[in-house]
Amino acid sequence: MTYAWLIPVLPLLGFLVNLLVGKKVGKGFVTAVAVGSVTLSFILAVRLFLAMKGADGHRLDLAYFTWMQTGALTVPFGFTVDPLSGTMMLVITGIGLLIHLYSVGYMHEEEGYYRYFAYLNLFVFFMLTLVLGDSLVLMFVGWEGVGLCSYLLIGYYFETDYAPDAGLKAFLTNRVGDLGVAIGMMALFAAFGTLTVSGILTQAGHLAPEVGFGFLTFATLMLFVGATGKSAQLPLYLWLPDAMAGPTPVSALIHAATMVTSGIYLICRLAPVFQLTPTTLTVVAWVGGLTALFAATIGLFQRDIKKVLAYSTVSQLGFMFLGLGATGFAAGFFHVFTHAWFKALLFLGAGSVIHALHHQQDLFKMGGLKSKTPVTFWTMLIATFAIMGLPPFSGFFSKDEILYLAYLKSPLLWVIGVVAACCTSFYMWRLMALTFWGEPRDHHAYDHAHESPKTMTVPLMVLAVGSALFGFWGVPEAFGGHFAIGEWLKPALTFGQLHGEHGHHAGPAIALAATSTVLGVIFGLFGWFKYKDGLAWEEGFIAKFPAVHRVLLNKYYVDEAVELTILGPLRWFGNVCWKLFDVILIDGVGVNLPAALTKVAGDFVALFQTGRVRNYVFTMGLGVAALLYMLLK
Amino acid sequence: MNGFASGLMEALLRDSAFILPQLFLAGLGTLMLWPGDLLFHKGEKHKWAPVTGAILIVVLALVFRTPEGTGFSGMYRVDGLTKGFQILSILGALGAVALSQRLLNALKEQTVEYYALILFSLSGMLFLCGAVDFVSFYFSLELMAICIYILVAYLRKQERGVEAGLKYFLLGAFSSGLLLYGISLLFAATGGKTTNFAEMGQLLPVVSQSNTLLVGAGVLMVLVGLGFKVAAVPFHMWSPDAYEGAPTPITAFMATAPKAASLAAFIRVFQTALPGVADQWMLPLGYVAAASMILGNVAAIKQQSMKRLLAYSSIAHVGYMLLGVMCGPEGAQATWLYMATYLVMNFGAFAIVIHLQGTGEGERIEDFRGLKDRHPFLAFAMMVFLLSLAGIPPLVGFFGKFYLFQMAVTQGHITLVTIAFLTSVVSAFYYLGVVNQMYFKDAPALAEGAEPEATGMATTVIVTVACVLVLLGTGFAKPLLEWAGGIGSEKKASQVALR
Amino acid sequence: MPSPNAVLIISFLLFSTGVAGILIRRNALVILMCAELMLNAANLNFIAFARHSGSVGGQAFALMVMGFAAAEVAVGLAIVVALYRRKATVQVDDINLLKG
Repeated sequence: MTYAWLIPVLPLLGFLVNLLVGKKVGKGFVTAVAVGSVTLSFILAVRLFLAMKGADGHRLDLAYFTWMQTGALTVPFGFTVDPLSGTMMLVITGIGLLIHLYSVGYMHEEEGYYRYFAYLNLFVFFMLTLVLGDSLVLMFVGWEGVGLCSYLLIGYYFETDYAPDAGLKAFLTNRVGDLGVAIGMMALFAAFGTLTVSGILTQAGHLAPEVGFGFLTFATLMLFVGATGKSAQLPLYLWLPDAMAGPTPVSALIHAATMVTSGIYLICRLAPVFQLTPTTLTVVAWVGGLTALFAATIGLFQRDIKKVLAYSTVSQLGFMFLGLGATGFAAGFFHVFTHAWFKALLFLGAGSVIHALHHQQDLFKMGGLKSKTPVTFWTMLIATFAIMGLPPFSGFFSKDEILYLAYLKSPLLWVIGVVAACCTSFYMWRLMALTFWGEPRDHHAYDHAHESPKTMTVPLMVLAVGSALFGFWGVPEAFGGHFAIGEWLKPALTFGQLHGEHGHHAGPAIALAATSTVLGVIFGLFGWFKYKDGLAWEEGFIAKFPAVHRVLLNKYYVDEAVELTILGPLRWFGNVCWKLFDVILIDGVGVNLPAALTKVAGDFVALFQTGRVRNYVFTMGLGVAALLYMLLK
Repeated sequence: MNGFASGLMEALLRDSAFILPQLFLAGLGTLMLWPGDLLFHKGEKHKWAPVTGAILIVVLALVFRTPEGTGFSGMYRVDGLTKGFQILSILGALGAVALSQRLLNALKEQTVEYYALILFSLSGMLFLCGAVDFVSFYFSLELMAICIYILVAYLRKQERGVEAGLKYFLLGAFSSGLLLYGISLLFAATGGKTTNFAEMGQLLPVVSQSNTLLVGAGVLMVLVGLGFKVAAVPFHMWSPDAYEGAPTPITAFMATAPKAASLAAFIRVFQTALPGVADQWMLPLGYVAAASMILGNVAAIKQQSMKRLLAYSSIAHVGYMLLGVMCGPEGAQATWLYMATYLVMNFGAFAIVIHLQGTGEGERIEDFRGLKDRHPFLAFAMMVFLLSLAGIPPLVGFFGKFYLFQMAVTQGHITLVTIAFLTSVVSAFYYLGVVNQMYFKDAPALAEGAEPEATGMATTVIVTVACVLVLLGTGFAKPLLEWAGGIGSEKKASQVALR
Repeated sequence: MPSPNAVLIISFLLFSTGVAGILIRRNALVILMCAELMLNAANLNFIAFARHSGSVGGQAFALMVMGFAAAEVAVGLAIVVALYRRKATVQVDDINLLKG
């Protein structure tokens, strides 16, 4: 296993090489370095995965050296490979490789080709660090690192006005979440006296679940705040739709398949601790469920193909948290796994469509592409089957498992989940119908449309196979399977401790699955039927329910609401300190931050820093007086 | 009388081993002024930088070889804390000297006194790191400060430079008055018995009831004086103005070397002389630290000038470091480590600013627009430094913060750490703002045929070394911490050394 | 020998005069003088209490402080002169190029 460290380091080397010499050497070299490093890393990851599978207890601890050591704190530097991190590692390097290949075709005209691939490699490095790290510190390094890469890649099209701002928004929103992680980390350190994952989990096994709101509940809630930032849940979800300003393959890799799932990964990694805090789990479940529904409804009437997929991602991430919250850690992670394949496929397919239509992203200007781009069409069709949960495509099994557990937690959560799933079917079929069926609505673009090159279609096909088949890894007991992935992940999720298992009763499970599937199909057919011939139905709908449509299209006016309810009064009535505090809150929501913050900071500084010595002396004098008062009080 | 003189002589000779680096600095500094100034004529004045650099490297070596112990009637002490912060001060001076070349070459007159002043002020800092008596403490503080007043106003033909110098000087004189008065009150509280830190540390907690006000006011004024030196809020007012107006290499110098020495003094005073009256200063110091974090980070947001931005950022970083001062002896190593990481990233950033200034840009944040096209390496390095200043892992800045905050949490300063976390979130905002300019904004059009100026040797070396350290430094956390471990044991050692 | 506590009161008055002067006067030279007053207030304490306890340390300190004060004034005056050459003023309110 001495080669294991090479798995993250190879992409890092790729990053360094491309960054330093990429501009001067040709694109061929850049491609070779970037794709080559990820390929090698993938091959090694497979080897390591097999080694882990053969190892005792499905677990390899690779300690390299002591990173920090002082007094109470010892932080080793090492990797842990177990079923959980091993699977993630394969997903990252595998899908990462496919997306690298796809990018070769998608980005071939770009001037910043080398920069793009350098950042993408850096992302793979950080993501692997996050997943493999055996201590919370190392994981945090990866956690912040992927945020940084995301920022760099979202802002990639810096010629546009909005891309750099979107990058900044993403980064800052994530920083708010990261604050949660940092506090959670400190709290866990305070509670367990160690920051290694295995150390925390071993001790957590000896504790009884907390009733009500205890210290561990606080710690896990803080970690969950971090997870909502990274995984775009309510209320920190606003950055993800904006993040679509980045290149489409980036959206596929970072903002669909891997990075945004790291919040779920973090919770799975610490599953035994979260098991101890039922309060937190309930919060997780409800936040997840509500996000799933909320985002799915916004997705109904978006016109930008990538925005639809972005809200779909937020919604699917909500499903994953719903699963986690219903103590179905394996189920949540199963959905991470299947979602990685079909959502990456959907994004890459959308990218292929955008590519074919020369950067047209508006669904209303597409149409009739079925025959022009057959590979894209068929592969996206498979992905659509998967995401709507049609048996036996992968999404069916994972989503069904989550909905079943949600039902056990609270029937209301199940209803929310099913409604969200119906919306999902509808907007997906709306998207498919508007893109591939009907008459072309922009003839100029249509006439020049063409199928994408091999380097883009091959990854699509590979992902399609994954989207179709990987659900069989987790066929639930109700359908004659034995939820293999659950068994597989069990040592990692329970860390050798007892795990609250739900008995599967075939009866309700099948009935519930049938209900949700049938409803999903009905809504999907409805969407397809209404949109396959054009926009007539939507126009009718707008005429009939203008208000509903406007509210959904404008994302429930959340941006505007924040502007109106928080920022407006703030500008008028706020005194400096109050503003200061609130601006930090708004930071969390990420609206109009630059202007507000700059203004407040300006007021604040101008108050003191007048440039006059006498005022400076006076301020110092005030400081002394304040401290003296504190002393005498 | 003869016996006294010879005894004094003997003691001086014996103890001079402790201050060999300072003697070397002050001696050579004087020699540089005369007859050294005859050595190179005006056309050759650029040779002074390598000469000064060589002197500093020798001093660095001397510091490593200095024996540990206390001398000069308990006024000066060499231990891990002394050496650790002395090394940082010397490195700061070395960086400033290396970056000063171009600025000084542009001047018409001889510039040897610029380097001599850096050496004199550095000798003050080295004394300050080891001062364990209020007499030597005040003496070294003044030596350090007076030289820096002159350096700030060194470009005496520029209005801004002189203004910065005057402001710094007037406020400095004020704060030094407060500090000295505070010391005199503490001295009075001991009944006029001693100015020695360790002895004071024993006497102060047991002074009579009527003197508690004296102690309180004294402690407070000492806090104010030291707070001024490290530019902590609300005694920071001079620093943005002085930073902006001073020659940029001196700005880099001020942000690092004197700060390191003053922090050493901070730790020494509060952990040796005043630990017994901690209830008098812990709360005020906490407020000062919190205010520094908040104001430094918030004020930096609106800055248009890069130097002012770095000034406010420096105020914020001091706020974090004061957390370490509050954490007792173990906090000393965390503070040292933080200062060390801050020194590296700060010098890297300043080296880039200074290089860009040579071509008439770099003063304003806008000047960084599209830097990635003109200087890809500098842009990348600048991004690394800024992210590290923001505390993004895995860069060293994160490591320093993490270690310091963890220390503060174990000591129970939860509120302050929370503020520190929150403000470090805010800080990402303005650091990233600069990165946005460099990477995501188009460069202003270069004049026809104009080429971006190549980076000089000193800049390249400093930026490269700093960049590598910032990128990989976290990997060496363990040896660094082990080395820094010697700093923390200071308190016990000093109590043993009591006579 | 008078009680040193009486000296404390005098020194405090001296100190307050210095602080007040720095706070309200605009002339850089007067501000400099007021800073000297603050130092001398401290010196008074040192000498009085050193004599009270019979230690020489405090008296030596006061002597050294006088030395520092002289050095400080020399540098300060030089800067004031440099300012006067550039701006023909020694009023501190007239210098505020650097702010924000």
